[in-house]
Amino acid sequence: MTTTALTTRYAAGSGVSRAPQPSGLADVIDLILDKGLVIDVYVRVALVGIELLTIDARIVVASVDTYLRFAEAVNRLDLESKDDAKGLPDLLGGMEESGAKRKTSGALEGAKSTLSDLFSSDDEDEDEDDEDRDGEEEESRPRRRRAQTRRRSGDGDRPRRRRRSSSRE
Amino acid sequence: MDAYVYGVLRAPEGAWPAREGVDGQDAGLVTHGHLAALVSDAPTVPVKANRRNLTAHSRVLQEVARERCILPMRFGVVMPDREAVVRELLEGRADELRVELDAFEPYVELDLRVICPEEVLLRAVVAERRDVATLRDAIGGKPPDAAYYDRIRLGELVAEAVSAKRETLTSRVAAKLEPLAVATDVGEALHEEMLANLAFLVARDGIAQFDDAVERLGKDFGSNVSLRYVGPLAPHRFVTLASESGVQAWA
Repeated sequence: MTTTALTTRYAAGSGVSRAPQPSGLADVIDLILDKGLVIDVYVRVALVGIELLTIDARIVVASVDTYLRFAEAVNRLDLESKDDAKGLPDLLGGMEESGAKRKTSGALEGAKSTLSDLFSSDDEDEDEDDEDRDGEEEESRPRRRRAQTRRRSGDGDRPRRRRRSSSRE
Repeated sequence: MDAYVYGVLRAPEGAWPAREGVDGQDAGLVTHGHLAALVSDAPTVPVKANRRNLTAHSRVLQEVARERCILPMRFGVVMPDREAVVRELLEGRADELRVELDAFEPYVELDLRVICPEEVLLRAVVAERRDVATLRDAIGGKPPDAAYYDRIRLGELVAEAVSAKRETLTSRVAAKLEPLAVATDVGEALHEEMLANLAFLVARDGIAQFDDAVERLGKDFGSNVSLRYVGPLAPHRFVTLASESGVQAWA
């Protein structure tokens, strides 16, 4: 089993333990960066400081790169030695082909685009010279959670959803 | 001095412990009538969204949330000074805040993420999807260039199957736990190995029961899947209060 800082939360030996705080930066960001009460006039965050890594790790859908990576990973699998990894539990199984062919929709597809949008304004038109820089100002607009699109930072042509305050530039 | 705002709660009685918050500043209370805001000085504006500050914002809120209901602000809310916090937030939005506090008082947020190593996931996909297995075998011996479009097609099928799994698993987990919660939020997977990213709003006195249900779920999953279970949290994924639209109900 993969164990990185981001994964396992098992109590020794048995069961699942409840952690009092989110354990990784990605989880923290998921929790507080675009969720919670907001009085939009007053949200003033410098976004240059956030590790872009957390964004790169975010799931990417429908790109040739992703497909090729998946294909390579599947081709690499050594199916002869699969006994140990045999079987995801019942909860995970039972996927019929018809179900798999259906276009995914709903909650998981209706992803929040907000996080990558937050970063896009940084890598597009600000120097990435880190958190010591003062003067950038982002003003958050109220948004619906789970916007209907998912974007990846680095795409060139996505709509800008965040507005920049001009008063401090 | 600018005031960084963490959240709003009912003005507590008794002493309030200082906690180190954003930019290393002490987070303390500003009260007005029955409402209080948890704030700290903000020497640097805009606040840097770095690891230390993000973690501090979350830590302060979760420490309070363990004891009592607090409506969490989004990261980065800074008001011109503490007077403005009283005037524009605690006084100006008093009615809405009371409604939200009443609604959330008995509840905490519990987050549950389901993680599965990619290899396990892919093995399951190959085992269950004949089209994937067949195409994989067909590509097997060919040089990469010759099979370029087949590879793309294979990856596409796999991505599709993984998405379907994610969706199936998310609904199944949600179905098992929803009866123990008053609201559920389905979030986006944060990385490719994440199969479900769920948040539940659960009565404070129902946490133990929810723990048991999660534990049973963990046993059902076995060792190939890990659960990341966090809480009690302030109801980040359920509160909404936007200045243009006023209070929105969470359920």
